[in-house]
Amino acid sequence: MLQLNHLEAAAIFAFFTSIVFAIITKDTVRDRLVYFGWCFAAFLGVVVGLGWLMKLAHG
Amino acid sequence: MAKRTELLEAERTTNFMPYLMAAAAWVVPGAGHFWQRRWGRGALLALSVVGMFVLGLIARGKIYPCNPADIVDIAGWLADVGAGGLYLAAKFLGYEVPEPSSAYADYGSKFLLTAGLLNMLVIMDAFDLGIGRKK
Repeated sequence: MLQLNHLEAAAIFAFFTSIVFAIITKDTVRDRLVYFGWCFAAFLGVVVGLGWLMKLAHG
Repeated sequence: MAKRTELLEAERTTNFMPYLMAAAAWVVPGAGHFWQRRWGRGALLALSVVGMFVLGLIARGKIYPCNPADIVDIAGWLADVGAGGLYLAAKFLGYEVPEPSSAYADYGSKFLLTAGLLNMLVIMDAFDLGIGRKK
C-alpha cells in the first residue's frame, strides 16, 4: 500500500487542487501557470507555517 | 475554430444543453468539457478529480454515509457525492471503510472529500462554458 507522510500528502493535495483552481479561474496559459505556482506554493507555505506555529505554541 | 463556435452556438440555442453538460460532468468528471470539445481543459480537470479520488481509495479513506442524525456525516456525504460516477462506482463495487484506521487513511478521507468538492467546481465550469459565460 502506498504510504505518504503528511508533507507528501499535502503536496499531492496542493498539486491537484491548484490545477483545478488555475484552469477554471484563469483564461490564458501563462496566467494559469503563474496561478498554479502561486496556489501550490501558498498551500505548502500554509501547511509548513501552521506546523511551525503549532510547534511554537505547544512546544 | 469557426466550426466549433458554430457548433457551440447551435447547442446553446436549446437551453437545456448546459444542464445536460453539467449532469454529464457529474457522472464522469471532465465529460462536460469533452462534450464541448475542450479536450485539454477537460483532460486536466478529469485527471485532477479522478487522481484525487483514486488516491483516496488507495489510502483506504472513509466515504461518509448519508446519516441525517449526524451533521458531519451529512456534510461529508454531500462532498463525496460531488464526485458523481466515481462515488457511485465505489459504492457499487462494495467499497466500505467505517472509520479510517490510521492517519494515512484519514488523508484518504480528505482526498475523497476534496475530489467531490473539486468536481463541483468542474461541473460549474462546464455549465459556465455551456451558457457562454466563459470562453
